[in-house]
Amino acid sequence: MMDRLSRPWLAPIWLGLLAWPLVGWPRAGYVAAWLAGALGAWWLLSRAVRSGGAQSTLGRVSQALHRVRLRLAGRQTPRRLIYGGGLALLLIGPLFLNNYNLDVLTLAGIYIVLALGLNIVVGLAGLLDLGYIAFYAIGAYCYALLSTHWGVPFWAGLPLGGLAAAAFGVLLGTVTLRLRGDYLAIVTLGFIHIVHLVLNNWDSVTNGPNGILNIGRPAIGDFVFSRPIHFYYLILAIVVAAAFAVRRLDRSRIGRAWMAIREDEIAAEAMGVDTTRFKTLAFALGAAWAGVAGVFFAGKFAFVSPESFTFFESVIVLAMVVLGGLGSIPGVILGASVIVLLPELLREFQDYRMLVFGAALIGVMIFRPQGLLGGASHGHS
Amino acid sequence: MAILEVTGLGKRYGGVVALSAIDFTVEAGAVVGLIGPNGAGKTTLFNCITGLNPPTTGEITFQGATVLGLRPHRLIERGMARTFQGIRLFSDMTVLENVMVGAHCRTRSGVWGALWRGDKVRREEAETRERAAAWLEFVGLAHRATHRARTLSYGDQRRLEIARALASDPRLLLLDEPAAGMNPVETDQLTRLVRDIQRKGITVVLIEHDMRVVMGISDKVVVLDHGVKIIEGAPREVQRDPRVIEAYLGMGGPGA
Repeated sequence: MMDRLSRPWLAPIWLGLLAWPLVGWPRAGYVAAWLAGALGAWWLLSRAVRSGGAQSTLGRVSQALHRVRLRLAGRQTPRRLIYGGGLALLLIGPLFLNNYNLDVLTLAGIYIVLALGLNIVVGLAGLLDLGYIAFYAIGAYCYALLSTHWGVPFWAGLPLGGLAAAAFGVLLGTVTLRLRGDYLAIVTLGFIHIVHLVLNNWDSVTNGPNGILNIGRPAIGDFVFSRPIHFYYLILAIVVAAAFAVRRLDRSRIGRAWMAIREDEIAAEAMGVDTTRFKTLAFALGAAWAGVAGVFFAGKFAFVSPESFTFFESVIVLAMVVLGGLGSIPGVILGASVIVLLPELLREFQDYRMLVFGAALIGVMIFRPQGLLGGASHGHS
Repeated sequence: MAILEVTGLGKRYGGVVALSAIDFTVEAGAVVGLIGPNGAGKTTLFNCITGLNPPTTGEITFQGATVLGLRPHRLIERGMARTFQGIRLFSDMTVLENVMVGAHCRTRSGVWGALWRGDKVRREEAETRERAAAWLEFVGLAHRATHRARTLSYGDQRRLEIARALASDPRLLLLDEPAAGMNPVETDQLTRLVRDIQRKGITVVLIEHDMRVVMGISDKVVVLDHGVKIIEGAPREVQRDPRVIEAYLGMGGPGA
């Protein structure tokens, strides 16, 4: 990365040129100047740290920052403080947001759950699954059908949707056991298309492209979840549960077995990991979270249709996992947030926002191929 | 008592005969060297024994029971662990984690255990970590525990592979060219390490090209050439055998 940034003056010019046609001249200049300033500051700081000059004010500032970073990275208590503070912010902050912002945050929450689940399959076990959204669809349709036909309540639908998705995960995992890499990607790609086609054409059950309407919303007694803020808190709880579960799995015998499979499947098998069982398990547990996210989706919008579950969605979720850093839980959460929120923030650029978004993604892959937070020490030992 | 018995083992790939009618036994507690020119079928034989690549014909008996058709993860559970010729570490995991994976078959905690993380699981995890650290100490890599496996030198990677295999508490350890790519100092350390392993009561079979290593530590040497066992015996006898010399040096004329 240092090599590529050794000519930092190129980056602002490049970004300025890119932004010019999108936002017009003066604003493109601001963007370039802002980036130049940020890069310059970073360069000065890192130089000051290297020379260790404690005399200069800059040196002292940078060393103080460095100490803070070490403290944050090392000790338990500040880490808990950060988690506690972050959670408090997530709990209280939304009270001051409008409905539109809450809906965007809720959407980000759904994608975080999806990305955390996909992270089990792709990030930990190293199985490239392009059809992951199929499990999201299965969860959503499972609850939609249970709710509209038998009036099954949301809270029962949540685990049932997860289970149904996990069952299909086992199915896909079993069928693709002998495949890896590109071949696995192609079969999973086929899987999402099959699911999409079934949803679109099996009119008598799924109501085809019209989708299923009037799905029951979550309710506790007489209190029915209806306002965006209700769903925000619900998805927040699911996100916390998912992050907790994936983290616990990650740092366990199971997580180690998955990582061993990712690193070298033959060696993993020779070292005692039942690769058949653990690959299937990764598919099942990853799919379960997609199923849960799907049930939430159906419960929030009270409507599902095949349109929401396309291959493109799969690619978006995969992009979140890769952007944030394969295998890194904070990274995956950041990646999902960035991909949902960035296009919203860029909304004033209108038609060009997807272009800028794509350029930003390419930029990350060039400057940080391991992802935003990937490649950092795992901190196991 | 024989810990491993191979009888009439053969492996064909279509019309190519990689191994034919291999018979040999490994006595419990011994160090057995498996040598032969490149392409003789040594690694193929290892893969047959460890279940990675099952043989076409023949029988393999390990600790008195047939192990034919068992998958590698079942074999290591029964006490047969191996290393690889082309090092196969989990390169993005730490050195300690690599060894902890080796203990996978001796630990039990599952998904619910991992999620709940009760006392039993915590204890098992702590024990695994401690024992993995002890094996690292044993092979002399304790100071590298938190490094990523990919950052180790070639010789250290080979020793890490041995520690990972040892973490499964094997009765029989198969080492595929453990001294390849090592400098003379590392090779001496390795020789001592194999002796230490033997002293722990673990039987060792090793493929090795470094004759000083093989002849120095083996109780018995088995020689393969073109997929056939040409001789087995004490290192001294084998070294003098004309068939072995011919296999290695390709001297003309009919063999003895």
